[in-house]
Amino acid sequence: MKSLFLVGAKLAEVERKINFKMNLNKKGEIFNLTKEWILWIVRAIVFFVIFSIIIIIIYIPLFSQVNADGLKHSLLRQHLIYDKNCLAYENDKVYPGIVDIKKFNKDNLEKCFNSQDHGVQVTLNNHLIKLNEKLNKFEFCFDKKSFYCSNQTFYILIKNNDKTEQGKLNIAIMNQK
Amino acid sequence: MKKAQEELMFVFSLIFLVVVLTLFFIIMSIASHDKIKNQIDSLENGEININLINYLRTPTNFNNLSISGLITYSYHTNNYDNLKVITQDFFDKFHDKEKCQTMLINVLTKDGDRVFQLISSGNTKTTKDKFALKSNSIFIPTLDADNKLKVTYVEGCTNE
Repeated sequence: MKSLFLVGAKLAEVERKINFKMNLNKKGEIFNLTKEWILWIVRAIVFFVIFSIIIIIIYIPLFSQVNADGLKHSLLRQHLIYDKNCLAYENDKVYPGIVDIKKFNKDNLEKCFNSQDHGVQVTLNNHLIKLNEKLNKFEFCFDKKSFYCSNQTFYILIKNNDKTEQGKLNIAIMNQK
Repeated sequence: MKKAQEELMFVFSLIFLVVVLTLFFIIMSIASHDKIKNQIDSLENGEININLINYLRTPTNFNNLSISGLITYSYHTNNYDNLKVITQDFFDKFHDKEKCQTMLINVLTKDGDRVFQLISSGNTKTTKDKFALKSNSIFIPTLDADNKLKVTYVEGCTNE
């Protein structure tokens, strides 16, 4: 509060000095205008600083990022499980969550999964299939600082001809941050 | 002195404006960020639907009923022994005790009375920041036209 009062006092002092100099000058009209200009320049600078601060404050939330990698992975997993072209069993209608054992092969999964940015490992009861070998060369998710990784296991039913068996489906996904 | 007060008021009003706007944008950005995060979490939580649906449609050896049929049957006979054995078998086959702290099946009536609950506990040392609790519920019909049972599945697992 004290410093604010000092700023106000300084501005008034500048004005007083200008007034004093102008009283000494006989061409008063011109210097009256100059006095006003100087005051407005000081005000404009203060206003510009404050305005810049406001603009920065407005832009900070606009540039804040929400990490949507988890959501992307979730959607890819659901695509693999729900889509009849991927793993979902189809018999007149599609049964999401029931895996057709005939569809669990690399060719079919590579056809249905067409993301070049994600490395995927699908494990059905200990049978592993790797998709997008480019991101699957080394140990899966070896560098957690550079890659975002997720790993989810589902309880699924497996349709093998007419038989329905219980099983575990693990889907691990990674992508570069 | 009057001029000094005027200039002081000018500076002070601008600073006041900045403070008000700052508070407004801070509150707004926190609120919107949390809202987006909650929406993302709820979309991700929807995945465990598959576990609950598959649990309910798992075939059993008991009168060729699925588990959902067995729940209804158990409710009407008031005998949950078979359901307990089959649910325990589901936990034994599916519960990864290293990754999941807990797994739970809960059956409530329309009035909120709990008729069945079975819990499986895993590794309780799983760190809190990795651990995510997800739950999902589904209503299944009973033979009473106006009654239905609410089956809730809860799992607390790491997602790594």
